[in-house]
Amino acid sequence: MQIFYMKAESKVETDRGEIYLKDIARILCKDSKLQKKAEAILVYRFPKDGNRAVISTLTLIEMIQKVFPECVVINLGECDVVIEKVKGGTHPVLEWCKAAFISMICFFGAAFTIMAFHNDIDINNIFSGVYEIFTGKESDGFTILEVTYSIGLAGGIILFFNHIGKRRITKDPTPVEVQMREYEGNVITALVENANRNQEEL
Amino acid sequence: MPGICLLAILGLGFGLFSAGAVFTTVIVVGLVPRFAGRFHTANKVFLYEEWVIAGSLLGGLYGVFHQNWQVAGWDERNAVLQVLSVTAVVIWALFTGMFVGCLAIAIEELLGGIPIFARRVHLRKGLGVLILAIACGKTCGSLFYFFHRLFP
Repeated sequence: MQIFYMKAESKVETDRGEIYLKDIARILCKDSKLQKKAEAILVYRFPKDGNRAVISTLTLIEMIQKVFPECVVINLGECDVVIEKVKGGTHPVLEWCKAAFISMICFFGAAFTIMAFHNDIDINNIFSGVYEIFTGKESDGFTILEVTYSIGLAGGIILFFNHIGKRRITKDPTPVEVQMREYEGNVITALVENANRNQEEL
Repeated sequence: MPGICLLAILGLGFGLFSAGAVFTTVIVVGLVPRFAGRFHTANKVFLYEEWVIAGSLLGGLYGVFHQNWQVAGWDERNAVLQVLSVTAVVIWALFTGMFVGCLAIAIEELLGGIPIFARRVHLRKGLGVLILAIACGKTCGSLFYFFHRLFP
């Protein structure tokens, strides 16, 4: 009786049409020959127009048991695996264009939101008052106060988000990266639930 | 006399509720823990809370009494006073700007605008440039706003 330890991924992206067990899960077995044999099990073949599938690990265990009738499979990973077919290789120019496009949206959008925010809070009143308190002079609307405030805006965001272009200030993942992983996790959960309810899970 | 008592009680009630409204925004967004965590000074979080309270108190008092206040002055003959007042203004503005920038991003993050955006377009690289674009956008927008006197 062999014992297999299986750690299934939650989501796998691949550009091949045939998925083997080693692509979607890590198998561990005392006997490395049996391990290699298990890893080579063909799990799924993409149909011509299909590009996403949800497979339950129960199906995977079934497949392993077909090859090794007397085995125990212990699953340490996810219970469902989402397999997605993506076109291999991204065009660098396309990536750059996408990044530039979104950066432009972020740039002008951020500028607009901060201007609308300033209008909302009647910032000229506040800054005039504070300027008079600190210097006794009357503010003409565009003084060193406003300039340093604007510099502080960018400084706060950069400090908060840990980016200066590509370099980092600490080794932690930045809040945006954490958020993206969180969102990805939510999307995977939604995909699995959908497949479950539509009876499309293999 | 009873009128003054009633006013005092009303004032207390108004203040309590306004404080709740203001603090909810700052706390729910989770700014202070983020600031503390970034520089690994989580053990001083009570200190930061106290500073937030002090700042809000000062801001509240400003709203009522600011015409009677004078911290520094601009005396054409006294250069030290000039330097002091400019320094005070610069420090105030810099930190205020930092906080406003962080608050704006934190609220945006709460709603999840940036990650959803980036995922819809399958953005793999360039996330850092995105954040830099937002930071620059805010600064340029703010400077543009003040330079062209876009306030009413």
